[in-house]
Amino acid sequence: MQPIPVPEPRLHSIRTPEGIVIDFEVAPLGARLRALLIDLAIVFLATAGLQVVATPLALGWLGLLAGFLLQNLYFLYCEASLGGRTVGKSLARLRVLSRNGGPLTPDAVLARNVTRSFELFLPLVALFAPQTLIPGAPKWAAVLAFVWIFAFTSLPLFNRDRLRCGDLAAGTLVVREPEDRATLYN
Amino acid sequence: MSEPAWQELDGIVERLDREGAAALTADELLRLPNLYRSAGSALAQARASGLDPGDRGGVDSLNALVARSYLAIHCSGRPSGEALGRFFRVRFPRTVRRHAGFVAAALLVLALGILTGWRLTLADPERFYSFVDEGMANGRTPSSSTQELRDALYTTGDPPADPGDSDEDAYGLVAFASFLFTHNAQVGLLCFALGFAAGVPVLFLLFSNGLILGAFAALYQSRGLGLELWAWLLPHGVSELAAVCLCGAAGMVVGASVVFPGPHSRLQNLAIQGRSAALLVLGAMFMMLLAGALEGIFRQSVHDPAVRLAVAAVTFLGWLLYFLLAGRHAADPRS
Repeated sequence: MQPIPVPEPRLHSIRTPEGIVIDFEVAPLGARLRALLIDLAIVFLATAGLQVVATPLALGWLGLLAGFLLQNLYFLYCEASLGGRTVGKSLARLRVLSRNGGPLTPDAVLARNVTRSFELFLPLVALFAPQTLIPGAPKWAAVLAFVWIFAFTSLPLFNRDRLRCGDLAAGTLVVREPEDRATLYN
Repeated sequence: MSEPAWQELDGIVERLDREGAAALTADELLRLPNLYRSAGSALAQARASGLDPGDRGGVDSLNALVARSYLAIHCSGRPSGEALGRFFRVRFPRTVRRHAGFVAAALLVLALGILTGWRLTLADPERFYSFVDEGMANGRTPSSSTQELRDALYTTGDPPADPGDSDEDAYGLVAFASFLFTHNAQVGLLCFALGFAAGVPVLFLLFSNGLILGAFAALYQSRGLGLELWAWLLPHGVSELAAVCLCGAAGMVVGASVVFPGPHSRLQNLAIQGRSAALLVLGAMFMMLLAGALEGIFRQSVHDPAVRLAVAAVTFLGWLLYFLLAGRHAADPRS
């Protein structure tokens, strides 16, 4: 029987400030998606929880504000303070790197996350409630706009290093957490 | 391969990653860079020596060890509160000055939008409806009575009478303010991201937001409420519009970095300029928060147009001086 071929991992080499060249495995899309779903679940549950608390107190606006901040600050805070990881990325064993081999600066984390609402939340709205996005626009314009939005969202499908818009703007890359310790010492 | 050394490095890196630098002894901290470098050169040697295929696993393991060391040493920094302070004192105003041309262009486009919306709506009030959609108008349209329009400028933002009822008219001004903040912040974020299409949609977005504002101005002016509208709008509007322009400028920076990459490759240049432009967006978000607070708290407690206009003038001068002067003489010329 023919063995099922295992796809070669995509590698990306980084030159560290010390001049060492290290190979990292580019994070596969499946793992990225898993990480994202976990993170979105966290953000969604936190937002919903806040709404449940805020609504009876007649503080609906607080829920709205907190929801916005959560959506945008969760990824920012996690990646900046956990060394390029969010809860979802940790669980999926992924990590954000700077493509130039330098440290992952807060600037880069910021740049890769300010595009998120455009890449992720906007397409979700476009998918589930298109009428709120472009009210009264002619159909052809709406279709065109959606195609355009989804073209940006699907960018990771079309490049070798699986970069999304935010990665392009920030010069970052998502890789698999390197872990191979067994073979070294036996 | 000198295995004990790798094992030691592995142990140190493991704890550094889990518990931070505080968990390491002084001796370990001293040894870490040397261990890391020797592992790095061992890796380079192993690669260069045309290794036999049987040893492939060894190189992979060494690569993984060096990779983990690199991540633990270089990529685990936590931003300090001091960094945030420095952002406001030095980096934000400096970044604004660096991109002054784009900021000016954004201001110009927004101003053109306001002017266009204003002139067109003055000439024909029916055009108001083509610039402002219903949610935005919030009941303020050419069909509203002058009294209704005036009331919208002076209502106090009581919380909704019935909490279960979140209809638009039940919203107080505080709610409206946070709605506006999230709306504006979304527009701001969108501006940055739209830079990927070479900045053209950014200009459109700025212009169309200007149209809305101009249409409102014309509507209120036609009822003799022009000055009062500006007194209502500008105390927070100065910060808000400046923030929107910064986001627009950020989008143009991103767009221009791809179209005119200069000495770098397009991808490199995008990464450099993208990080810089993101700082504009971050600063703009704080400006919008401030604007939201001014809108939600100040505007409800103060109704005198003269005081409102004075506050607007103060914020305008404040931002102008801040962007022109702050951080000019700070030590680090980079950033």
